[in-house]
Amino acid sequence: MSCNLQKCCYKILNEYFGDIVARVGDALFQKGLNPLKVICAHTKLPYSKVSEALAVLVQHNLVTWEEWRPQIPGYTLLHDRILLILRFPRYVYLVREQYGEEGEMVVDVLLKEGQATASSIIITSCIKLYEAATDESAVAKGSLEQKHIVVRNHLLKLIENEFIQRCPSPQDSSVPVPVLSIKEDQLYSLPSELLDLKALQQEIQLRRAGNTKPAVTHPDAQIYWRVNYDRFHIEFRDSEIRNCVVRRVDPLAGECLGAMLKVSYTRSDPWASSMNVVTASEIRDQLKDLKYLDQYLKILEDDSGGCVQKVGDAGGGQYRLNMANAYETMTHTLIDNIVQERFGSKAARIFRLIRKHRMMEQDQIGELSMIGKKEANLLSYRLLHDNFLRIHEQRKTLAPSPANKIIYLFHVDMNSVVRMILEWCYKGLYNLMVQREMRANYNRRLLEKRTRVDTIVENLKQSGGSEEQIQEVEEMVTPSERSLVEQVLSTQDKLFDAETGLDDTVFILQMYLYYQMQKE
Amino acid sequence: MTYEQLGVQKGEVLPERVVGPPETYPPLEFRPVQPAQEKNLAESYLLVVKKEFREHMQNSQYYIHPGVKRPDIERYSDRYQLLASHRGQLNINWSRCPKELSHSSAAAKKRKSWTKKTDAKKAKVKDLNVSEALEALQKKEETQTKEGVEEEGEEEGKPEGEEIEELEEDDEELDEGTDYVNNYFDNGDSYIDEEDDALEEGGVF
Repeated sequence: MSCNLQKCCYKILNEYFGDIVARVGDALFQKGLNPLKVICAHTKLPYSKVSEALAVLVQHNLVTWEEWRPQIPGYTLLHDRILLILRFPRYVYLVREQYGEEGEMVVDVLLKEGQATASSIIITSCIKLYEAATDESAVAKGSLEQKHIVVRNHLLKLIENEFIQRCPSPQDSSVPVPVLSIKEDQLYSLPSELLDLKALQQEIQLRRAGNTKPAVTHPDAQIYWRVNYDRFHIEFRDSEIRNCVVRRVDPLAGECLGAMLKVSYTRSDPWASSMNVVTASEIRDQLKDLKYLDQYLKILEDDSGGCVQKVGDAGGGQYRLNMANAYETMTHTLIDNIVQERFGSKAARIFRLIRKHRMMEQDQIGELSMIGKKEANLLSYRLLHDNFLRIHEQRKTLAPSPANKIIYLFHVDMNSVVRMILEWCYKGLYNLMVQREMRANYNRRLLEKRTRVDTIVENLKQSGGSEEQIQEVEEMVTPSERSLVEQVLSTQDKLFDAETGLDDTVFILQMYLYYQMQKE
Repeated sequence: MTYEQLGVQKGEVLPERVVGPPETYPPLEFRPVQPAQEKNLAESYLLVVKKEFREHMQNSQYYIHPGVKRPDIERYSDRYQLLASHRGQLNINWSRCPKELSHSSAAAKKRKSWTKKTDAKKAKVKDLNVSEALEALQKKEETQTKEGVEEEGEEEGKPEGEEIEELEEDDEELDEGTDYVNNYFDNGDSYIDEEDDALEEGGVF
């Protein structure tokens, strides 16, 4: 809950849902739980627009409500979820890697809609897949006819693996403030009688023929589904750790760790900070053709930053995975790197040293860091000034007297450093978005001209215009303009990439904070 | 802290004292690392998905546009821009939201304009009534001396009856208003008109 986070959320909402939704979201962010009328008063927007904006936020799982006063709902913004909008491409990509094109389409449709019924997901994804297929070639027409079954199977698989979950539904929708609830066992099950495959196929064909009206009501019209972010985050968390091991050791070690994770999940809560014990023989069952498993386990134990811990020798060696340790190591490395980039490698050395020794005196730093005393002092004060270090006063007696010197100890408060860097990330995200918007506005005319010319050329090509005509239209954009457009677009791409990169960092830091909270 | 504790020897030159706030954009000591020039497949795919998603959301029904403000000068081209920015209403399952968010809000607005119109009508009717009443009073004054009390009663009774009728009319109108909320369904055809009357004058060309 900070100014930077607030600005960042505002910008994200502004970009994806428009200014009105952003203003409503901003009011909710600032004021917390509030009823509709108060939001109207605060945003100075008309009643109808505010309620529309709230409905959009509810649809995208960004706002919840509860009974504030009898018969009057109060709304709460889930600001963490707003940041997740930036992570949507990663969700889509993950599913693409694991489930292929159809699964990707399902998640893509669902993310765009926020909440959707199973039948509408299947229909929309099928239509999109058809469109994609006709673009390339009309190969395998027979298989296209059965596409809805393939998509349905993927949807079922995704639900079964808890990537998609059922939304809670209102018990009694006639009351002014419906209460949403769901039974535990319904969360990840899609009964087959809810899908009428024939009706689905009919509707897909109708839609493709250009008929937009829904012909029939599907049996699952009241059952909505949404993406289960937590499940995706488990996946991200694991791949992050695996990538670290791969970078540090080699790909086979990564596979080894993957197998350990797989076995661990069968018997422990995936969000626990330390998993239940796995034996080496169980890992061997998973990795039959890995030659040097014992050696790899030994390396992992030594070199994974406390992620793999050996707890016993029974069953060929008992191992425990400790996610909290893994993320702690990762965050430490991350922050070391940040210090290095900002203050230079000498400062990074001092920072690492103090973190390892927990509490350090001034003179000790100079001696142990092998940097000149004066420079070491200067660097540690700079780190102190930028809040990377803290000072702890140690007095021998309470009464201040020149005889007994006060000892000043430098130390690192990791949690506060992490929170500070998280703030920087939010600020960075905001700056990136502002910069991108500014550049787009500045070059709006140029970019619009470019798209206009492109559409004309496209139309000409389709209507069979001659080569000369196309050439003529193309020349409407001068070479200098063309290079400028290219430059603008590539800068925008860079800014987009930076956003994705920053989001990665945010993810690691958030994970670290999550495990720290669990410890307490 | 004393100077000694800060590690400064006596007689040593200290850095200059800082007076005033730090700069908004201080010069960077180290240049940030350049992002990798060569992007791998995953990154470029993420970029494509991100852009596509962004574009989709901006063109979807969830991107709420503010009511278009009427410019000070009417331009012919405005009509087309308005038409282009016209978008249908949200198509979501309203039973999953609190009641107050659903269509009734749009209907409430409609009702307001409706009552405004009927108010105007009523005012006219009242004007007529007043003049009629005045005439009646005049007549009454003229006839009072000539005719008896009974007729007076009749004359007086008439405007009263009118008044009651008027009240009933009012009631009916209110009833219609509430009925309207229940039955009204806006398909979005007259969206702009009722939202901000943007085309009210534009329509007369």
